[in-house]
Amino acid sequence: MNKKRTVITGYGFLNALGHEPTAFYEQLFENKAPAIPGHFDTSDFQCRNAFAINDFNGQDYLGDVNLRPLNRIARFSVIAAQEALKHAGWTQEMLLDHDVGLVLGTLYCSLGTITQFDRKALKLGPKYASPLDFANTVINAAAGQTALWHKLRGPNTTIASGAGSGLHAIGYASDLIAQGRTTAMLAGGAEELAYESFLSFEREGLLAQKPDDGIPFSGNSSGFFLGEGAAYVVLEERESALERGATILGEIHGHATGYDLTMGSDKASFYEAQLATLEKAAEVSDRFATDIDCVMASANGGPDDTAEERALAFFLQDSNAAVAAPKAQFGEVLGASGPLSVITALLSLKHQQMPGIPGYVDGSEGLSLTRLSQQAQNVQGDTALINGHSFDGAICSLIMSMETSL
Amino acid sequence: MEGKRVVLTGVGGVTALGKGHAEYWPKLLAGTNAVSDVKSFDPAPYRATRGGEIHDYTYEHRVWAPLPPPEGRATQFAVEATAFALEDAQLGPTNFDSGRAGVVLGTTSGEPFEIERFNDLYKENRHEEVATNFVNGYPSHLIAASVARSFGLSGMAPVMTPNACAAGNYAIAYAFDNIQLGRAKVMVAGGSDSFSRITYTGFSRLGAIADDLCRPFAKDRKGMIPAEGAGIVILEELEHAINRNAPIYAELVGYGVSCDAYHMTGGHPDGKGAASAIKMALQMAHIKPDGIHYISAHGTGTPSNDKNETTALKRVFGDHAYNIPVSSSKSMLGHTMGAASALEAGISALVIRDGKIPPTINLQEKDPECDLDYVSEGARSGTYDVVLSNSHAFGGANGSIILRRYREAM
Repeated sequence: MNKKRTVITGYGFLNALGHEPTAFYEQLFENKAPAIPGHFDTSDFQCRNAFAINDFNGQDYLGDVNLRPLNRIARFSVIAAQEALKHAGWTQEMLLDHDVGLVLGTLYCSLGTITQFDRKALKLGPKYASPLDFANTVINAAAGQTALWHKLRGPNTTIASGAGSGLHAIGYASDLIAQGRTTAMLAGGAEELAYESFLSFEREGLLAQKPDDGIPFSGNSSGFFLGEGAAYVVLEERESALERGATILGEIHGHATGYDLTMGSDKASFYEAQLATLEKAAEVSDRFATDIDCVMASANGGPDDTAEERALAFFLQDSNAAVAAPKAQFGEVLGASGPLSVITALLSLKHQQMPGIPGYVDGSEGLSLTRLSQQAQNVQGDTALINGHSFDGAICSLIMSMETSL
Repeated sequence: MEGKRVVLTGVGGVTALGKGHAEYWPKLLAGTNAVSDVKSFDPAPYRATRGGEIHDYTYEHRVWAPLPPPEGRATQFAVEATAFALEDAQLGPTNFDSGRAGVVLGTTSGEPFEIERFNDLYKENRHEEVATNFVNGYPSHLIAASVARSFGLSGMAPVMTPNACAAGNYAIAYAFDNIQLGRAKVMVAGGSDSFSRITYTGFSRLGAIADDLCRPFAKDRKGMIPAEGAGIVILEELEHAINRNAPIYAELVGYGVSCDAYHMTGGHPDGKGAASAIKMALQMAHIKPDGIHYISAHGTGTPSNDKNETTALKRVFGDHAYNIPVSSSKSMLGHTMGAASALEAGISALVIRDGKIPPTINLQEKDPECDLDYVSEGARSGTYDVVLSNSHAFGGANGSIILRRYREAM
């Protein structure tokens, strides 16, 4: 079976570090602290901060247009898609002539909107519930709104597999291109901070309990900080991209997903499932561990970091790859984390430098990584491994490279 | 690119007409109406009060792993429907490699009861009692995860394709691609949704719910009927199925997906997006339009859907559209949302196996703009080797699949 090659021709994002690639990359090294979210009250929680997009106004990005039909997550998604399409050189005219698809990964999509929709109907009666809001209550609402806004008529699907949904979405979209189902896809993820999910993570004991915590791979980290935003890459079939004169930024070589049937509760089982997935990702990508030059880990400062650390340590034992954990910089953005990590990898490979893990202290018990650092690290080479795991056992690993001819 | 051949070897479902196709298939062929008065919440404040609820549902815990029963209603539907489908496919805990199997399910709302319960308690300032449920109970991917854990299916990450009312066909497409790529030998694919106050409120506010019956394609149709259930099919790499002498209902030969990018809650009146998905499926299947023998319609019973869908079928099939029997099982079951197209995939497989098409009930007089052959007289017998099943959804998503009677030569 001859698979087609899938290349990256653009990317776009919006998160707590902004929407502009140069500023985003610089801030990855400045260690911005999470802040109190401006759109709901966290004063009753031990963890009060998050990587929120405060003072957000969609019209700052989309112009003086009616944004009432779009809820918060849909606005994030539409903006990130706009940036990605622009970066890849897809104009509105071109989108009318070509069926570009979209795969969006999310864990919660419109949880805040759904809760408010039901609460209003409960309080005032069903006839006071807004039909406009109902359109945003389905889990594929952000993907639908984004397609509607940008006239994306190709395959359109939402992927939900937990916190790694966005990376999974990129892997799935690259499969669709590799199989010749389509030639151009926006792929990524989106997540909004909502009171209800924040409450749940807090009460589950998963959020950082100290303001300077949330340190990936550190044994004494009490938890992670949530974030919000959206991020997309534009994926295209290589020949088709070259034909239209696109700038090729990188290439997706392959991905694999895996699952730990203990849902991560048995750390040894979670480790084994992660290691098996890493090996599968390398196999389908036709790469060896020694080909990997840098890693964007999924670690976030939560209790599952140990299993990933062990799996990476074993997988990379003969490799010189440096390991970053960019959730230290932008938080656990759930469905958007993986795509943000892919973009971080592209920028790190381009600039040959990747962010460190501020405050990192070796918390391992015998099998630690040797390429973790508090400081920024140099990257030599062109190939990256990205992990996007979920705290409930779903695993995704993806291998990509930067276009070296640039 | 031609990948591995994919066959359908098991059908399972939980519906308002019964559990398992042995129970609900004869009722569908008999034209049994499952629509009744809503009982799970007080429908008095609503204009319409009818639904396709599974009254007095009792979950039967027939799983392979030593796990407690799942709690969420949509999850229970999915797990139980999977048990039926695996049994139907003659798959058991020891006769195949569950490490090469995966799960992909569609849904519209996941477990919306968790939100409703949270809000009910919020009114009384007691929501802290269920504060952790948005991590442990609500997220939709936990439905697929629960199916995977219940049967030890660990070949890949369990995943949801929550593409609203077309979700089941998107799940089937995902499974098809993963088997073709060699990522899995067996996939549990389908969809599940539970009856929900939130969903009912929304469709009611759109004025989309019929106040009595679901009458797809009828002149006097008033709307759709929200319903619940789960549909599961077992998809399998052909060689794997042959090696274990599995019963083969049909071969999944193609799918098509597209987006209208026109309106969030309504399809494009020109039917172009829906037609695009059907054409993609035909092309993937290498089947000409006149090679389709039966169409399982989306057929919700809303004035716009049925007209748009008919337009799309004419756009693809031209005059030949009048020669193809089309029917909608939603006329009997109501609209089971994310489960609908998955249930309809199973029904399509049964049509191929038995040579019988379930009718579109409640259709006395056709809408002049819906003038195809909608099988309104009762079940119809014949030979139906190639079946197209369509679905359309909020967000403009369209999904079509084509099943063909299995034959050794391609």
